[in-house]
Amino acid sequence: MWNPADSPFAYHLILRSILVPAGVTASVRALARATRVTRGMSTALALFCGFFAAYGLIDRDFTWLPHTVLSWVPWLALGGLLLPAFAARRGWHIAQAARWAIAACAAAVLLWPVLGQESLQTAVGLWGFSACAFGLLWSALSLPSGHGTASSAILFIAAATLAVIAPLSGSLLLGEMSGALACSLFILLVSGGLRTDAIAVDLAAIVLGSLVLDVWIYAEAPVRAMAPLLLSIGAGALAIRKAPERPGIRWMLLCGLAGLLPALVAGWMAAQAYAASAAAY
Amino acid sequence: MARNKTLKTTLATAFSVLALAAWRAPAAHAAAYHTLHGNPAGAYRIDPNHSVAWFTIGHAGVAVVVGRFDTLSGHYTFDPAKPARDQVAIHIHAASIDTGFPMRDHDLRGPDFLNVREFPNITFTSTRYQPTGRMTGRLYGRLTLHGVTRPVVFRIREIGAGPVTMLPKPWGGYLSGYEASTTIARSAFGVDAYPGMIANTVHLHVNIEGVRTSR
Repeated sequence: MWNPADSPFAYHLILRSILVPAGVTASVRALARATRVTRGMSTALALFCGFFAAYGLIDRDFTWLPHTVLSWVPWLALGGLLLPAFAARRGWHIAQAARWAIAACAAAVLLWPVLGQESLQTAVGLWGFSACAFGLLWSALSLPSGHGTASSAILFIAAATLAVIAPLSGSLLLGEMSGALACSLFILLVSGGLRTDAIAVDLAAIVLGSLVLDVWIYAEAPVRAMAPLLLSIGAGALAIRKAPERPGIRWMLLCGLAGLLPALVAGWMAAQAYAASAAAY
Repeated sequence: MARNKTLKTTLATAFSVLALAAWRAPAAHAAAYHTLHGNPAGAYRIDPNHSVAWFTIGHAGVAVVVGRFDTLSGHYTFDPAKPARDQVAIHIHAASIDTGFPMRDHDLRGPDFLNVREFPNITFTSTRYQPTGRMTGRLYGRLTLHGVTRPVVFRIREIGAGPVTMLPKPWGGYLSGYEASTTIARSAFGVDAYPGMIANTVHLHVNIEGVRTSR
């Protein structure tokens, strides 16, 4: 019988994208609870430590200025964590504006190498679409009142789906990062979920958005897989918005299902594209 | 009568030309291959159709994978009297990587390895040339790969130089050719994915054929 522990490759894969992020997230969350850290801060801290412990093992690049688009992830996450948190003190609308501004900047930074190779019209179109999709989905997930479990479920489903699409599109590295994010989110989900107005949602959204752009543009994931993935986040966010302030189990399942069905289509499409390219050889 | 005589003369001339061509043709095909040893001095444009960059790298601890870059361009100058002034610039299209396995090539072009959408070019620019023999030397320069620039030293061997009647097509020209090789650590260029499966050491080879553009 195949034992993953016998394969150093599989062992490191599991260690970096599952065990380390899950372990660090759970430990930091427990430590933060034991001290008098607020719930919002403890989830953000746990997610930050869990994901970046895995990132440190996977990409290991925290240099400033980052020289690759992948190395921008930690710095964008830091910006996405701090700016909305500061802006939130000035009101919810200011925080939303900050999210849109960061999404536009993140899209420009991550697409910069590609934009320089395209015509002005194509470059503006690509950046505009990416920035709008990024900003729209991020702001849709950041609600003023609490639907914590459902929103963490949507983010988890999207991250887990991306962890399937990325390796099928040829990037195990991005798959590992997405897997690490999904594991950290899963730990937070089973331990009570994120508050939708918590800064952890901002952190998860900017990391997920950056990874989605990287997988789409640089791993050249098929559009027929990426479109249902975006639809999954959008449908999930829409379902949460329609839910009552204190949603029952039926609403929770409905929100999860709204995100899960397009996500399954996205994974299926990525697998089909992979099978087609493998068959073409 | 006179018309018949002209026809006979024309036919006789035509047969003579054909006979001469038939006699010379086997001789041309039978000409033995030999290396040209002309003077390689001059400025050259790299002929992309007759030049290739290729590499070997250890795979899974049991084998060696051979890959190549199909598209490269550039230029070089060579002056045996002043070798320190020699200059080489090579431009490789990273997306032209070919290991004979399209799915692996797709992965190699992706963000885990060369990330060709972000870093479409691999370039080498020489800084100095140091002869080590009549037809060998060391070429010092800077290699930019995956957006990272590092100093490298190529071992150079001149293959030949001289006038070639058929290349470049159609009228021929003065050509020279070299082979160059070096060894790099891929991690030094930020390409460090899957260290347990793929060796860190890459043996890089470049075979160049150049067309002289000026003496």
